[in-house]
Amino acid sequence: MDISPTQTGSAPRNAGDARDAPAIPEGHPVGGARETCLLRGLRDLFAARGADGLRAASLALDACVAEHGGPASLPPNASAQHGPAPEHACPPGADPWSEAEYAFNRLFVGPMAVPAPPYASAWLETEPRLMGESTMDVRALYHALGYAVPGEGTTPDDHLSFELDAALALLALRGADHPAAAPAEGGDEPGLAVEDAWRWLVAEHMGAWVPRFVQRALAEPGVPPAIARALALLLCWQEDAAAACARHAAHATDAPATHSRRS
Amino acid sequence: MSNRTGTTGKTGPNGPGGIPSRGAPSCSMSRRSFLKGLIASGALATLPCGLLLPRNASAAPFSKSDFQIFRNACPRNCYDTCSMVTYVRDGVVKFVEGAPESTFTAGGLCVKGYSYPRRVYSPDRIKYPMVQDGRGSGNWRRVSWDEAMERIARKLLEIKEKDGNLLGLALTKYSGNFGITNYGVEGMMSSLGYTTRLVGTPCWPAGIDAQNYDLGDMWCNDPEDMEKSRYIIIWGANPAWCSVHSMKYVYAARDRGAKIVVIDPVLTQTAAKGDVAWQPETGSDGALALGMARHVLDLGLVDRDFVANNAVGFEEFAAYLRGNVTVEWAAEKSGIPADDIRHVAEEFATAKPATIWIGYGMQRHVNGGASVRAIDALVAMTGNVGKVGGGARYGHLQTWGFNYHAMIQKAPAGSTGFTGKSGPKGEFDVTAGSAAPAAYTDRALNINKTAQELLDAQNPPVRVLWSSCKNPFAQDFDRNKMLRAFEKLEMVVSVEQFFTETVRHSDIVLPVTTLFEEWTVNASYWHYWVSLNEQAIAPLHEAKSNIEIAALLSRHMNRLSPGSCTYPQDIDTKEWMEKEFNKGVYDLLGISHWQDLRKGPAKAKLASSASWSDRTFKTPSGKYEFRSDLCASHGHKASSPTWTGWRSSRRNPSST
Repeated sequence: MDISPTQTGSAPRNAGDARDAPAIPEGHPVGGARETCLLRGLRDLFAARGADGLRAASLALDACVAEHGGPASLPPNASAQHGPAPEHACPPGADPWSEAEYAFNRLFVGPMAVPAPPYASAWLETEPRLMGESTMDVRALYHALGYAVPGEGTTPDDHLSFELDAALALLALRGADHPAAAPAEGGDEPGLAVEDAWRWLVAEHMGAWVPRFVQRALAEPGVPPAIARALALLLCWQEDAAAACARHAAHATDAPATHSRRS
Repeated sequence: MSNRTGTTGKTGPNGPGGIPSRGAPSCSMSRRSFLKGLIASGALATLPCGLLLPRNASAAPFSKSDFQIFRNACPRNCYDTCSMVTYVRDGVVKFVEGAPESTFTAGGLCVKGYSYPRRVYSPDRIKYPMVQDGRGSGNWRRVSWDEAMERIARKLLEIKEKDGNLLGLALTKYSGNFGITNYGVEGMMSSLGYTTRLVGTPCWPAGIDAQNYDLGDMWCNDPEDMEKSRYIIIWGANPAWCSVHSMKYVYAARDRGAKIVVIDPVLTQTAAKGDVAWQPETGSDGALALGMARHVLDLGLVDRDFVANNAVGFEEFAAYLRGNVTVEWAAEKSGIPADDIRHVAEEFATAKPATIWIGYGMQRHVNGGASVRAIDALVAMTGNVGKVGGGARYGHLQTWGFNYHAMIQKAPAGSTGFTGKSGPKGEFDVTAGSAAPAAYTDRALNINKTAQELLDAQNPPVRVLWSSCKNPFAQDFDRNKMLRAFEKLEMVVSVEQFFTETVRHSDIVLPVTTLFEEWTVNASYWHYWVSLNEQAIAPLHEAKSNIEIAALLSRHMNRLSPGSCTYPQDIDTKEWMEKEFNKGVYDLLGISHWQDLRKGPAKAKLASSASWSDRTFKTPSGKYEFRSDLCASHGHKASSPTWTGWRSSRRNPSST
């Protein structure tokens, strides 16, 4: 899905429509090639609407891990090259990626009640419901970036894939002396708004739900390796990013001793 | 979750940051400030977003937090059919409340009503059209609407080619959404040709028949006049749970001195709140009513003027009572002590006015219709029919005179169909007698024998089942037989909001809108208010309304086989809601245009809050019929209300 000025209302209606390979502007100075390809792969995997999308995103994650290395905690076989499920778990003759699609839908899509809805507000509201206050928080962030989800008001803004897409955007703004990292009003130093938005999104907001989401999904029986690997990569990325956030803050400021540590 | 008081846009311009406190130290800056920082940036169109789209609208994260307010109506199959007010902000339903304009809803909802936002935004809602590879396998794939509808359309054309008609397509639909435009599902079927319908009512047919025999129509008093009753018997209904808005009238009557008697085999919450609670043997209600009638007769408390001048067959009924019924017999059958029966019967006959609320539970037994007839007779012989605060209250359809535009559609030219005897009609069927006999009809199967009928249907068998506003696996009996019946089906399509047992056994599921996501209009079968239902929010995910689904199916049918479906291919739910109104509805409600309902629900202008207040009945005799020859002609055992005992396999309590 190319980035282009889009008139409100003419957009595709949901995350899953964006199953095509994303077009990242070539040569864009992004904040770390590894993190970029990781986020892109995860975004596309969780936005997949079928076997083809899962396969493409999994192979992209494979390539990303192969080139840049993966977290040490990943299971050795957790690679799309090994197929999405162990041989014995697949009925003979069945397309393993179709089996992965079924499992993906049972975990995240439906039509049955799913154990791990991939929406922030399903985890952050006082009772499970979509389009809650946390949805409006990320909507405000997208709007501040000049973006919106396709079909705003119909598609919950806090689907994991949109949040990863926004993280990708902020990553790009952080990584370069991008013009977007302009001074916030009130004489703040350049980039401070981007840094704070990044910290809010990945450490605070996603930190409040992504770990629970991942653990809940991984607790289900029969999660295909390709999906388990993506969940593990997601959790590792989120935790690393949040920890880096904390380190950076401790280093960059004279943080008062009263500040509590993230648990 | 951390505190949310610092949500962007809610703090003043110079107010405290208030970012949730759980973040890392350096994250303790106002979220608002980073948002502004981002807004101040330029060259945003070069960001590497693959899913998010550039937004042209004003970048202000929040505008003034005003609500948009909409009119809605609860579409469930419920006495109360609440008139609702919906509060929307940022395109999201924030909360709902009862409409204050309706004296019945009176500003309050039940718990289910108040929790509607949770239903609309449930993470468990069905979000997309999906196909199951192997019915019951749990292996579901997302498909586009076009893919789903093309698949269905091809199947329908295939069976039409094979059978020479569309009787292989069956519809099962009942009361899952009582918004009038949802009768467009039946319309969709008609627009395809002659099809098979699961018809009849699993809910209240015996009582409707009973009231038709006795009074000529099912027509209850305005429930709001119950407060004028001096004596209320709630018989087989549990309004404390199932009609919470009616309870205020029951309480008001009691405040004015009325006694409340609740008759139910279960000690319900309503029974707990009554002055007298009877727990009769299940299915003995008719015997109990006849025993009370016998005692009223013995005491000479019959309203002689009514039974002589406004009724037929009373003397036959009285003779039946004297010859076949005693209070002791009723006590033996029901388990209610004879003295209690005498006491309540005498009180009921002497309190004026007195009323009986006949619940639907008590007619779902052998003797169900006769039991309702016996209760009707008790109310009538005591002179309480046609009285404000009186009446044998069962239900009514007085406010349902809509056009049924969505429902009444023409079969494509050249369609062939069923030529046998037509089956039962649904209680909301408005087409009876409206047209000359057609060469072909739909094929009617009994909804109360759904599983057996699906198994038995031949020439052609039912090949495709379309289920909407209904969950046959939960609502029709004999689950094991239903499983076998479904095995016979070549395709099952479910239109649903949530994953029911029927969806589990479907091949295709289509996500359907909630009340907040479409325009329609709603009436009640109990009170006399009519409510507009406005579209308050965009349909969530990929949900479509029933009539939009019909339009899309029509598009695909006509693309694949021009002329194969007469349903309009492009519809607007608001326009279709407008098409349901007519002068009769306007006059009844005392409005000049449906737009008037945007100011609030409207109540039917009634000559009296009492039904039958002029004592002109719609029976063949024009009088109340203690003896109904029509009933006898329909094959029932007696023309007077009698009680013929339980089914033989049933344990007789008197033998224990």
